[in-house]
Amino acid sequence: MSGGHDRRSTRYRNASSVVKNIKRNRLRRRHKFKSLAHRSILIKRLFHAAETHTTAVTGQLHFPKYRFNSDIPEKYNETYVCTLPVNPGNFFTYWEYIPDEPARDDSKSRNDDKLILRFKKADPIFFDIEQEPENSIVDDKGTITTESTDGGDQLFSILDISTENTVGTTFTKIPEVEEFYNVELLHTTEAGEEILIVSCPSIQGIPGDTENNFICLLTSDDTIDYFDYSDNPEKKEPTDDCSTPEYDRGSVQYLGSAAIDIKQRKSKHE
Amino acid sequence: MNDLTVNPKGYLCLVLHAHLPFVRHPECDYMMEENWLYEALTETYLPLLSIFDNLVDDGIPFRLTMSLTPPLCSMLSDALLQERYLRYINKLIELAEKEVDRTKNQPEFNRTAQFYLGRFHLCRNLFENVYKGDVVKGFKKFQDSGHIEIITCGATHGFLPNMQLNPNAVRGQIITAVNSYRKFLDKNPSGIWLPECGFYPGLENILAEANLRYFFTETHGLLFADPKPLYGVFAPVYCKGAPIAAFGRDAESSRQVWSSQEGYPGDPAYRDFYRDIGFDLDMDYIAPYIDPIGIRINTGIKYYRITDKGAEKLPYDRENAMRVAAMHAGNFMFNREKQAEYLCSIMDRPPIIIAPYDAELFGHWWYEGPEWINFLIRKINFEQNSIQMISPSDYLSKHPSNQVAEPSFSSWGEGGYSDVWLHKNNEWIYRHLHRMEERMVEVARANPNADGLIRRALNQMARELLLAESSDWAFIMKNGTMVQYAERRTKEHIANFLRLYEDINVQNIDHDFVALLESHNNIFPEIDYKVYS
Repeated sequence: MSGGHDRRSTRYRNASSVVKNIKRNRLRRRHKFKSLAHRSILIKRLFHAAETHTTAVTGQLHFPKYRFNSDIPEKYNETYVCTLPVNPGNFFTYWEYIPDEPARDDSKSRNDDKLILRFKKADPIFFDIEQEPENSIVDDKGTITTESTDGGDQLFSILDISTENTVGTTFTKIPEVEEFYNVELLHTTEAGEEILIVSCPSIQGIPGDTENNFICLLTSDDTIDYFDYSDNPEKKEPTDDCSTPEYDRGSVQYLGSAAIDIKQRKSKHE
Repeated sequence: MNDLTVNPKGYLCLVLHAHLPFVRHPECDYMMEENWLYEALTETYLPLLSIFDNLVDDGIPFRLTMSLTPPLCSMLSDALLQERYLRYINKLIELAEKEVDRTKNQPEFNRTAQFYLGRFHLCRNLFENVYKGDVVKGFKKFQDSGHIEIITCGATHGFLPNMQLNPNAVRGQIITAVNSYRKFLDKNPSGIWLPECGFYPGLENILAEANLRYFFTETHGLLFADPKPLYGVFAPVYCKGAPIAAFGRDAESSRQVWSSQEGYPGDPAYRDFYRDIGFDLDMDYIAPYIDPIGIRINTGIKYYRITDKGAEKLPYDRENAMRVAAMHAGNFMFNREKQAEYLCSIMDRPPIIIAPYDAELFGHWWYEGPEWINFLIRKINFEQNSIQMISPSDYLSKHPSNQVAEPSFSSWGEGGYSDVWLHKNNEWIYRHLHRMEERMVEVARANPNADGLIRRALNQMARELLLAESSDWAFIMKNGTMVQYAERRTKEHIANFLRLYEDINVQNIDHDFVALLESHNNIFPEIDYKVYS
């Protein structure tokens, strides 16, 4: 398709303005502007202010009249731990720990360097005491080790994650799918004793979509093509390739948040 | 003609979810992100209103469900944005006129240029003369006449499962949304579109507190309910312990439209979204109609159709595209008929097929979408008797007895749960959002009867919190589209909130700062911070 600009239009009234515009276009093509500020500096340096490009309507450069501060703290100088379910079996957890805050029992010596994130079953009624929880290494922040737990206060523990970070986040795969979970932040003493720092409220996990959970839909699974079933005498011959389902639409992207491929999700259950 | 008094074999509930994040920048003369609203107005909302008008004029009955989110309603009603939209559409008309002239020797493009010119004139006339700049009133008119059931959504489209640690934060989203709905539409909403269809067990109690009658879940939200739903997603369930119904999305009708592999919008005859003259034409020609700093953007004028993959793009043929849209509408209707006939044979009541879509799909991403809806409604009315359009309220009135079950955690985002909004690219926001929610509850309870400047500061804190909670920012960060803008917006709202919090605590509130925020982030003028107490 043709470019569209007529160089003999009245925009170029004389040779010198043609030269200026050629120079400006070369500048635009030559420079990859790193930012708005970078572009502004270059334009101001090379061109008279009257020639800088302006908005067509108002004649003003569209620099903002004011800007809001966007500096936010990295942490809040508080002690907390929070967890949210991401999908069946996976949680997102973040924490912050202020080491100067006294532990629950001041008589115990504290090893502030070693923290433990403990995922626990929140409802002990149905806990099987014969079963030893499994552990897995998941975290990609801080030092991660896994430990097996063997009774006592750790009776209901599903997973322990050790970390040296007083501020952190982690995505964690829980080895057992339970209904309710607790997450505790503890630190251990040199004697190996654990001191609870803080815990978050119980949160409900997401049930796993196992075969037992999947039910058959009360519908035909296939899309029926109109022309296969219609006896309509006014049926028209298809134009282009519209009616044949084989053509590839893979290049089309839909950015709506619900633009999932149902087939892919269903295939997980099959 | 489809006689609405005849008992159909099934019901089709078409749900259009209209939402845009709150983007308003009075500090700039031009902000590219505001174009999201102007493009949606030109390509979706005004064309839909035009189609509804024509249907009513032709005496064709229809029943749709639409959610208009509070941020969208606020922007559509905002005087500054209305004025900027007029400027936008006038520029488009100017560009279209130039295009008609430029392509006068290229008939295959000139026809399309003429079409755009006519379309832009129509939009300007509808906006300026028919609806006097108030598009929300336009949709309200169709609600009042019984053609559309408008429902609400979260106040700023916050992803509610990620707020579940603080029920008051969820309440803030819901109650603020209900109050906002009442302000724009003069009645209480009957239903709610959960942002991103995000549901977690327990949410139903908060929704019922707000006197909402129904909500929607993703397919597996209902299929994995406890106990399993007798009718799958083809009848609602009442939630255990809360007088509210849950409707589940039908996967089959969704696939036919949403699927990138087999959905209608990918048909080669339809207009290609990406071949826009904003990128194709010479910079000197197009410069006045794109970003003033020279960034090429979409203008809305596109001359090519999708064509086959790998083939050179062919010129867009509007008439052929309309034929294809009509055929696709017929195909969709036919499939719903067969679906309803099959379901009716195995259910003891007519099924309801819930078909929800983002409203912006129709017209913006899929340019022929509004016309597809037009054809669909007309075909349903004239060419069959098996299915009837219905709203969830109407279905509940016809079938008030329903199974009781607890829906399951779900969303309609990729993966079906929270993966999109709890991702390595956006997880950093939750430490801040949760601290903000705690502080909001703290100050709301500490100031039960605030007045004057303190009250204004508290209300503005609530606004900043709500705006930071918008799920759009986390979505954008995860998908990597306008990440800088999303991050900046999130951080600004966090910083504004924290500053107001500190000022209230030290009892030294900056009046000018509060006034500036009120004028800039002017959503929810009626907000009451006490929803957080």
